[in-house]
Amino acid sequence: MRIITKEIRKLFRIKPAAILVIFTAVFIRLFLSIAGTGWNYVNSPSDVDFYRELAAQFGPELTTDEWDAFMAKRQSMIDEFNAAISQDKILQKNGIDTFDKCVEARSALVSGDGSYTNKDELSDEINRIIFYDSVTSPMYFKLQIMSEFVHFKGMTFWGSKTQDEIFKKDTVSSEQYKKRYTELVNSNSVSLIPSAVTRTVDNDFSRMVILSAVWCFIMILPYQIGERLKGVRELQISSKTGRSIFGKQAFACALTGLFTGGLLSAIYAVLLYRKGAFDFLDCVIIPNMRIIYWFDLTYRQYLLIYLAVFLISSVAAAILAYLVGRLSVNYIAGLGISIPTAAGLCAAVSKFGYMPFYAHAALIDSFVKILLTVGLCAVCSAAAAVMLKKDKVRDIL
Amino acid sequence: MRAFRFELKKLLNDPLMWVLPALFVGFDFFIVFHEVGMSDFRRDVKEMHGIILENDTTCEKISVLTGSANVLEAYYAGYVNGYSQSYDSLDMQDIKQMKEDTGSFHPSGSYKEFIDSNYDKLQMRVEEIKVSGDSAAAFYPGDGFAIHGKLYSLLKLCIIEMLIMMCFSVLYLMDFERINHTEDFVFSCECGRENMLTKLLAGLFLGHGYSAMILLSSLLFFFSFVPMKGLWNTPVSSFMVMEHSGLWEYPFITFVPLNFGQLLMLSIVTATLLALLIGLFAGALQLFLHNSYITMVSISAGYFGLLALPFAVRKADWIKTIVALNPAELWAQCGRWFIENYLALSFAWSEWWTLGIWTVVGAVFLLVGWRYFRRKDF
Repeated sequence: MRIITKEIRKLFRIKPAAILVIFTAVFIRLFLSIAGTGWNYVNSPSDVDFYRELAAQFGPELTTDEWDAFMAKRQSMIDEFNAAISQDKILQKNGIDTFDKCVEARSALVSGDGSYTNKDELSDEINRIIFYDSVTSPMYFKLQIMSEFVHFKGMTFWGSKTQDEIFKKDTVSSEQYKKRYTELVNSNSVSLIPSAVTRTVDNDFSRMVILSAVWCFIMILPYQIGERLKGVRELQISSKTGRSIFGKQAFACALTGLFTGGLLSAIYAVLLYRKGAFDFLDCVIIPNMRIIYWFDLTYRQYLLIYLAVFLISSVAAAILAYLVGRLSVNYIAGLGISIPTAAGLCAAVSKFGYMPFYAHAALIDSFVKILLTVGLCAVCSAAAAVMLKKDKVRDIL
Repeated sequence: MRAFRFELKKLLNDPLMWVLPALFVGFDFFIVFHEVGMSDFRRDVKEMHGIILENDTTCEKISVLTGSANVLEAYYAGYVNGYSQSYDSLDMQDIKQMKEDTGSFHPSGSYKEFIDSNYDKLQMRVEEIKVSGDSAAAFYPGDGFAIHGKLYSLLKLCIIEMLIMMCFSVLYLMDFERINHTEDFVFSCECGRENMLTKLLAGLFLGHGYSAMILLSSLLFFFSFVPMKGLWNTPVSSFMVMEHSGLWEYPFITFVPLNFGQLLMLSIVTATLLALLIGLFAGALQLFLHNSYITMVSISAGYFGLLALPFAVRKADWIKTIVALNPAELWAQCGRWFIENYLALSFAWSEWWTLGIWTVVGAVFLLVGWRYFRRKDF
């Protein structure tokens, strides 16, 4: 254990660590959606706050019992919006005095339909009301969110439709998918989670994998190559005790990968917390029927699955870095081999680990992607194990 | 010269220096095939090439094609009809205003005058383009085929690979003595230390060789799928070349008259000079740090830092333009080189200003590094 601790301490050297800290700060600022000032994948800056308000009032899910209260809230907001636009002369001229008429007029203007007198003037006014007016704009987007729930209620939820009714002419979707979809259609509740909080994590995941691979390679690689260049390897190989250090070094690298993964996950968790995403931890991650998953995972479970995949990929990156370090004859060779190796690992993990348990209509891939990620990491570990086994019998000459 | 030849040999004898560019080229081929090599796209692009060569964008030709039963001919006609008025009400001051509003970029004082005058000049270019007829030259429909976008995405990828190969070539040679434990002998005399410059030159020379290999093979592969016969002279400012970019939908306004071929040649020259500049910096830094690994990591971190710098400066002032004139930002703008794009860099030849300024900085850095290295106690 003492040797493993010393090996880990050797890997965390000041100079590369300092460069990595700066690199991480810049990388997070430039490439992670979570680091931006607002949320991505939303229609307005106040969307997530409104979902939070709904979740605080109705709980993580909106059930059939709460539907009347929800509709009453919506009606009071519509009344407020109608009152706010009632004095608008341009809207009055075109007979627009309610929220519904405003929505209709907007879609008609976008599609080029509608018989309005001065289309440009009306279009500018509606845009002002929706995007720029400090009173009506937040109200419009809140009502848009509520309308989406109403739309899904009318279209799908809280019905008692059979599978055949829903998938009349569908020959593409698998039976499992049809079953899952029908189950969700007939569910008597709908999650109050904004899709932005899951999509942000989905899209940041691949970038976090790259970041952890950069950390692992930059910390582990120079140490292994340095040992070879300084002739330490020959000394280690000359005795049984020395050879046993290779295994400990590999283990220390794997622990370093785990630590790095944990550290980066903690940073990401802080960013998520600061943005208020943890308010939705108990919400199921299926906000509507556009993106569905095989299981009713809560946001907490979803984040934990991502965390597990991320930690596994960090350990795999560390083991790969150890392998590359052992095989490289000099620093440039090490960096040269690392580029395709790390890129391959990151591409594979990002592809396999992206949106775990996402239900695809034509595929039954609930566990396949997770298994592929674990399998990939198992291959890295097996390669390291083969190398370590060879070390035990390798001829010093 | 003899030492230079031996340095080249060292590099050429390392298998990694062949395997890595081969991997890069293979990856580029994969990307190119994915973007333009699929059978459907190849068939469409070939057919569209024929349509473009047979028909220009004049009303007579287009009116004939409008009711055509051929899907691509009808699409071409529809595209021309849809976008032929792109220049009619194009006002660069309006574009500038929208960019300022959406980017919360509100300059004041002399900097505002500078930006305004840049966009006045661009408006004059718009008038010039309209008069010269460059605005309506025939090309692959920009949004449908995205030839410009795909080509310059490839170039952007190639530049990263070129920079890596350039740094590796320079650093491999400059760190060779340390790695092979011969520095005590080599650097013990003036002549041995001066050999470091030969290594730098050999690294830059061969780095260019690798860069040329990556760039040329990728571009040739790209153009083997995209027929360009008769289209090299199409002005880039034509509304047909225009591609959507987020909110923006207006033609590429080049600062000087440029056709597709000229823009590509200028971009290749700029990319090559950028690679040379980064190689120069890698060499200069190696003279200080004397460790190829730390040098490479520092160059990468510095590059990322420079990329982030314009985001960090929120003030709409001269400092915004000064920080934007950096090599990382130059790479990020690839695809819009010599074309109006970023408010802070809305003046002609900003790309070469960046290269010029940073070459001077690099040369000074190299001189100081050389002085330090010559006096260093080993």
